[in-house]
Amino acid sequence: MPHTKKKRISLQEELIIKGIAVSGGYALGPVGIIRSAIPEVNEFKLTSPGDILQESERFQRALEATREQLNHQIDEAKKKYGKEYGQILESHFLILEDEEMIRGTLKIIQGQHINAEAAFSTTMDKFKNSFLKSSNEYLRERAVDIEDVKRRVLNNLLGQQRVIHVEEPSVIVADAIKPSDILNIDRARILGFISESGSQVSHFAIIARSLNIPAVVGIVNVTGFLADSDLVIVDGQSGEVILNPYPATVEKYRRKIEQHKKETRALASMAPLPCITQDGRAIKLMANVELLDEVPTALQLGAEGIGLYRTEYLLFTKREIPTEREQYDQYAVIAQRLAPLPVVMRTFDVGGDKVPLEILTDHGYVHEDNPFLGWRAIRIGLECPEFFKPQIRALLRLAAKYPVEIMLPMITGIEEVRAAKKIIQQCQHELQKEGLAYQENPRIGIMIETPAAALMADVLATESDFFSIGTNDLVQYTLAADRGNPKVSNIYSCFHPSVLRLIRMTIETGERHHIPVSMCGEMASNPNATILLLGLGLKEFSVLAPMLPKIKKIIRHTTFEYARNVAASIMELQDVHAIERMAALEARKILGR
Amino acid sequence: MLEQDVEVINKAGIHARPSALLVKTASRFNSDVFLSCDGTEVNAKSIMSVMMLAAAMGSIVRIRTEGPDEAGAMEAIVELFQQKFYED
Repeated sequence: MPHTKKKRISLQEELIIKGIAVSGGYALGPVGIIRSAIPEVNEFKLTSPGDILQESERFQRALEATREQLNHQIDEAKKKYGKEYGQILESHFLILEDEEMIRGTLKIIQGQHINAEAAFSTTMDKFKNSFLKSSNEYLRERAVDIEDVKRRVLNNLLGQQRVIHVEEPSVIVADAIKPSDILNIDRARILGFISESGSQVSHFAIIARSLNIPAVVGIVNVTGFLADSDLVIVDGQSGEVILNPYPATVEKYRRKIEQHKKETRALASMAPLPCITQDGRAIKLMANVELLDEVPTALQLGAEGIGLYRTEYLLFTKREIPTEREQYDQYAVIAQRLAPLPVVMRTFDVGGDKVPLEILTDHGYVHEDNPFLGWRAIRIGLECPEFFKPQIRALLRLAAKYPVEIMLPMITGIEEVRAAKKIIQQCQHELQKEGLAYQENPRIGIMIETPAAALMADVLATESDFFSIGTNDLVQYTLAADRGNPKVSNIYSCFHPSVLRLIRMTIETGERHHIPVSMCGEMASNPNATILLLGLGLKEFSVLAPMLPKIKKIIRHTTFEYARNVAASIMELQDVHAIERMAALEARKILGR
Repeated sequence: MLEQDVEVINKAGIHARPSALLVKTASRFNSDVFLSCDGTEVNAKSIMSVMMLAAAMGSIVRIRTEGPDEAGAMEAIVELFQQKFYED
């Protein structure tokens, strides 16, 4: 981003800044800022020829990964800020290709047997120092560029390091909040989030909602004008951030926070009640989970299982593929907590849009202009057994002890399901040979999140034990609209009749083939959609944990017959806005407001 | 191996943009390309080295190319100097 002057606003006045609310609730507390820092470089001696080769390759891969990232940024920068800023980044690109820098680094790795980051650091510092010593002011200034490139490469070699000072419960503030940031802070110390970048569908926003933490995004230069320990209010309903609030405002928000807690408690009292319509249709209400922290909430609020466990977070915390053992241990914690309730574990659903690029680069990922239509999820798994197999083996072993089910993401056709099952069988043979306990008949289901999968549901049903509808991707692929792009996000709606037809088709096909159909996409957590989905015949909902009571309340206050009529009327409507209005009206009838 | 002397005739000398142009051009060839000025010789495929050369207007730069396509490389580099790096 272009350098914006960081100005500390000294104020006695209350300052209200309007952003975008991405997770509801209110927070009041001191600011805790997350900053990126240059990773610390430690030098060590390489002892074997194998290590030397490995370090040389690791260095080249880090350069390649940095080039990929930079290329991407150059495109973005040219679009957003014009050619000039793009040119600065292009000069950084040339530094990454600098023959003397590459040769110099490799010479230290191979000649002095020094590790990649130390060798690279030494080489870059040598260049930087000669620039700094120059009598030419322009050249002295360029030392900053060298330092910048060095940081980029070190981030790829060592993993970006984030500095977080959160010693008391705080409102977490950052330019961009990463899923790993949330993992690194004790949940009890997170009151709320404020971020410059991000949207409704950013990864951290989804996590914030599932943890019931208020969050506001779109506050430009937020780390520039907020400082650690400033008192700030986050209003996750209106999207307002209030800096230096007047005592009266503080008092007002204290009351709001109390009220919000009371409402949450009242809804939570629904937890032990069965999830059943007034005319006796039982609905299985489960929770989506990503972090271990979310499990207690899900159980307290009466989840009947985990309908979607996102395993990717393991990749966010580690910068390489976790071993089978690490995966087993992690998954076992969740399975144990839930037993005897079932957990549906989805295999790694990652692609170029989700962060751990260096992991993918190791397996042959190259920069994609359009990662959503690229190499992702099951496509990576089928091509890279080293990526897929440890996870499958861990899940098969776990399924021998607990009701764990395997779910395959991003399926488009039957051949993918068959190929995946073949690998699963291979894993079973291996486990048998090794004498390890494993599940012989695992339940294997698929995500219906591409229009192709919904259209081919009847064929896919022959090879699947269950379907789970993933609406976020289904909507974006059906409507060809990127939910993160503000120019077209108005087109993105799960209530679009085309999406509803695909959902209906999937539910009806599942019914005909006697396989359960659930929905784990965000639509399932949207109270406005509950009666419609119920009426379309959906029997299993997997929702964000904090939404469990609200969804249950709607289900318990309606009848299947009524819902079917509502769904039939909605399916007659042609206009997405008319559908949205009618759906919202139905929810209001039960929830009020 | 080929060698040729050229004069820097663009006003600003070899600053950022000409350096980038030199490196990009040299990198198109398999041959080694070196530039020397005031007794310092640098690899023309190294942006940081070329920038450090900081050759000002009026200075003489010796170009040295060596490899399978040394003639083509020499021609392309000399042309950059003669065309004032398409500046001015």
